[in-house]
Amino acid sequence: MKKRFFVILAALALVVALGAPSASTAAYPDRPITLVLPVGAGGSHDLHARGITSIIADILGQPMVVKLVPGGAGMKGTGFVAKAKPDGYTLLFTHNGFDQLVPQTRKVPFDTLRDFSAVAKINHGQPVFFSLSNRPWKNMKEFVAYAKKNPGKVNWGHSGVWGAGHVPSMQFVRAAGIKVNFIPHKGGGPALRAVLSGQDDVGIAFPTQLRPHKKAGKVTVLALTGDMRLSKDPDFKEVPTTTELGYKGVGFTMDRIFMAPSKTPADRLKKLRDAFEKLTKNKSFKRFMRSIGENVVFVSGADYEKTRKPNFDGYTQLIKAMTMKK
Amino acid sequence: MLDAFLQAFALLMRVDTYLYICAGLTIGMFVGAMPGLTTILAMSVLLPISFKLEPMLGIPFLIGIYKGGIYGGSIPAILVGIPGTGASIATTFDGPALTRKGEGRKALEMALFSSTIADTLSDIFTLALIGPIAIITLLIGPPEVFAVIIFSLVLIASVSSDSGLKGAIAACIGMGLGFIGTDATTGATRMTFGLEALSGGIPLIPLAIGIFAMPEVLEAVETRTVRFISEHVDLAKAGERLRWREFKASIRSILRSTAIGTGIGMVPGVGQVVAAFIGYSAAKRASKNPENFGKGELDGVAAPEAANNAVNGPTLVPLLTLGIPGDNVTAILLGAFVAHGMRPGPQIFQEQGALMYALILTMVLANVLFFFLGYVLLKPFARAIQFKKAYLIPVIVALAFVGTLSTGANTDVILMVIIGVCAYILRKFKFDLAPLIIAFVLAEPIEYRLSQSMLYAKGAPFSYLFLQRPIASAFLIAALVWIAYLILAPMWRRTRGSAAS
Repeated sequence: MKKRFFVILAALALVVALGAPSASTAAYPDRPITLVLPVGAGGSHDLHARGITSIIADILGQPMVVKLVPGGAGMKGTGFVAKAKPDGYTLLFTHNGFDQLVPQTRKVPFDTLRDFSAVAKINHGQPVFFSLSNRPWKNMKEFVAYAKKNPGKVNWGHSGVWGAGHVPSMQFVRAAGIKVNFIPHKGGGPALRAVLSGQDDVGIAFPTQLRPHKKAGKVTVLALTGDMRLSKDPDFKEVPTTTELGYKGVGFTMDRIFMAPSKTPADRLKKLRDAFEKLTKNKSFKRFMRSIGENVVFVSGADYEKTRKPNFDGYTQLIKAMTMKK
Repeated sequence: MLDAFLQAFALLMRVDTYLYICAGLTIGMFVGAMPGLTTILAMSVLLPISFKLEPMLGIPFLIGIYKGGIYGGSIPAILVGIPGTGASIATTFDGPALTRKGEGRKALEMALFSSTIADTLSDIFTLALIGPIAIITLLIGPPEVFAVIIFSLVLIASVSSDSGLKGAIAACIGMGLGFIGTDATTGATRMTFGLEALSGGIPLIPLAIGIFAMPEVLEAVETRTVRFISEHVDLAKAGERLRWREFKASIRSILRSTAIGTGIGMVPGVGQVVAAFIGYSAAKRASKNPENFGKGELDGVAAPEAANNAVNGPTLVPLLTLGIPGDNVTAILLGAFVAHGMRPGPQIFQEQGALMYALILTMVLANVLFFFLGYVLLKPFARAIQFKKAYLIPVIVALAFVGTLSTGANTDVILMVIIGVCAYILRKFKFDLAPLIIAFVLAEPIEYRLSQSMLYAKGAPFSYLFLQRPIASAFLIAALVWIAYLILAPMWRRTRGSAAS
């Protein structure tokens, strides 16, 4: 008899415990927040997220749990968050390619500009074009001359269709007026490996990935995409930008951004935005970012939100131009 | 270099490193034993802990989880036929049959010994020859990967199921399923019937659980026996441990699989799954009694387990020499290295040689520790399987669903159930589903590597293959010769036999 009583008591306690979070009006957040990454384990987003979640927990007062939902060129995880309850307990850690470009290239179950709001931009990566040092060209000018003489002969590797390496590569090839043989790879690692093994003649990678190989003198960095030199970086400050070299319109910096479903209540969104701003000033966060070799370039959610629409429209033009002529 | 190597030993002279390895091994083994709770997941969740520890504690801890997790995946594969990871699929061919015969504990111990021995040998081999291996891995590009996969498929097919036609049908279904999703070279979605859930392709874990666990559960309910272990087996004897004699009989298989796994480990992106299948096929072919394979043969557990663990050594080579991870697990290890300020690459051995060697040595040590630790930890698992089905089946069903959900999408559960029902029907028609899963796993790399090779060939595939890629053409020719031999040898034997009579 007594035993049954305890069972019922336990069951009741369980019901109360389960019902509690939805009934309570306690201050947000009162339970762990899920951070969805639309990529697989082990990439740069994963690494960033591990460090960030272990530090931001102290700022928010609740843990943040990483959930990896890879697949479908990032659209599976993005769609997952788009459909999640907009209560501030599900966030997305993505980049501008997944946010503003890829949704335009395929059928997706959400409207990226309408369904998401930016929480924060943490930093960005500016990719560089590079070759093995033993190739017959020593800089970008020589390479372009070589490619012009041998149209379609040069193997140019990138990390995947419509990825962070593909877009600037297409922009560059167009601006330089050359023809190359594009080879898609499964991610940045295999793409880098293809150049190092001599399989690909030119590749594209982020400075953090390339640093040890540049230091070892194995690779020649041809150009930095965009128009701003990495003047603070001791290894890459001498690398000219594509704009300097006279190739206009080449630039795809990968913004690492945190997004929330746009229907998230305003006060919760504000709390999240503030938490990320505090995070970027946190000492152990800065130390973590230094040790993984990444910079911190914080842009507030409200400011980043303003750039999304123009960028989106820019990509519409790019996709049109890229898919039209073949 | 020798200096750094000796300093590395000094770094290993501390007890807490070993305690962290053991903690990692134990956690990894239990996590790996839960279907769907993958090693990768456990490592990424515990990665922040390793950030906070010093390198000689944090990284060995992760290595422990890694090694323990890979072995843990074999436990449900052996006991109930649910592969915890892709690497343990081949273990389900003989593991559950052994469990039914009451030899579950023997199988678990055989798996433990063959894994740790193979892993240790391949690690030592890799350490000794890291330079040459690094050069070989760089020579292997898309055409070589393609050729190696084709060659492996021919090898696997030549020893698989009794009914060639049904095996071929299953393989075609598997390959078809593998093509669903996003075309990696163009980025277009295909064969998804417009379903959002399929746009990323069918994930391996729900497929494997659907194909192996669901029919297993349905059949277990159907057969109405009280336990998984056959009723003819004396339960008092069911927990028997592996005998030296039995282990000795499999040493050849373990060494053969170690060589196979170490070789496969140099081919990027094919890895453990393929190695396990080839190890199994080779053992079956070399065995004196191949008809016992699939019906509960200890050799059939030792061979795939040794092969998939022998892959571990060489997969570390691109990570250590180029800073490029070979798979997801090594990618997380890279994360841990980087967060501790070590960026593996061409100069890492000059810059931080002592620490790097110490960490590589902890990998070898983790195997040795696990050899003993596993021996103790296995007992509860071997015991659990002796419970009545009435208690076990609900637990297995729950684990199958939880495991499927770990991919993060609810739709995967529906996928798993549909696949499970289809697999049950196919099994009733006596289809061997192993070719289905092999073809599924390999469909994507085959297509992708072929299309990449075609891009490199720039419209002239034959001259590219035979003039520029000798390694790839050698493997393709070997595959053709092997097929010809398989067809011609019986014919030749027949004509000779009729001539003699």
